Amino acid sequence: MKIYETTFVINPQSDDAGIEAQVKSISDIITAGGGKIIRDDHMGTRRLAYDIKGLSQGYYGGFIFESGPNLIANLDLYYRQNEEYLRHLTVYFPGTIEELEKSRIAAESSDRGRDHYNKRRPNDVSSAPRPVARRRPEASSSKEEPARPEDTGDHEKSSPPVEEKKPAPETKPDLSSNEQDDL
Amino acid sequence: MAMMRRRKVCRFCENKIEHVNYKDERLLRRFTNERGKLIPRRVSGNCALHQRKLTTAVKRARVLAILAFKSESYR
Repeated sequence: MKIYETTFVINPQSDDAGIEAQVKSISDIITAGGGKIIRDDHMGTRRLAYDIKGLSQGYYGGFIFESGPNLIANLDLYYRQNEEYLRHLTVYFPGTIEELEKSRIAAESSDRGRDHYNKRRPNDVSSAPRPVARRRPEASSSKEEPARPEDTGDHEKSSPPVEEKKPAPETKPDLSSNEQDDL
Repeated sequence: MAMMRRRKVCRFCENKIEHVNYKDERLLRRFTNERGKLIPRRVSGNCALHQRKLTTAVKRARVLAILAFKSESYR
């Protein structure tokens, strides 16, 4: 009996009953196949990183369960046979439940300022789409410090600040260094 | 480049985390750049073991549409 984790994405249709039914059918398959559900790991409705079948949001459900090996193939078959499960993934869970908790806690703990690597990308439903092209303002206002390389190996992107001909001979964006200091 | 940086510690080793949760978008996004690409180990400071685990976690998250394969860039 090993511990597995399964995650699936379904259409977040308007009625909760439909979602519940789909989630329940997965849990039924697990228990009917001799598995024991350890925990629910539903993440709820979230915005998808990319559109799937025209949908921009999905309901994420998941279970952590313990079972023998035979169940996994049946579960996967069920996922694949039903088109309502847009994505699915079932993995062997090598850690313990405590480690899962720990990784979650550590994620919420101190973040050593790495977020300049990632522009703020809120994952809530109501967020406006990010602008694709960003025009640099005229040289009067210096937006972000040039000493802060934003991307690794993305030299083309840091070229606009160089062309800008700042009045003060400041340090140009560090094109050669790909390394971050504060991670 | 040689001596200007302090020694970096693997963030996972520091907190004694063994399992990288592929559903943890916040954690995973810290190790991808704006285009959604994985950050190299020499930049992120991870040890080899955790970088490998992180990589599989990021790839799983991409399949599940928790992370993007490729993000919009500013160009």
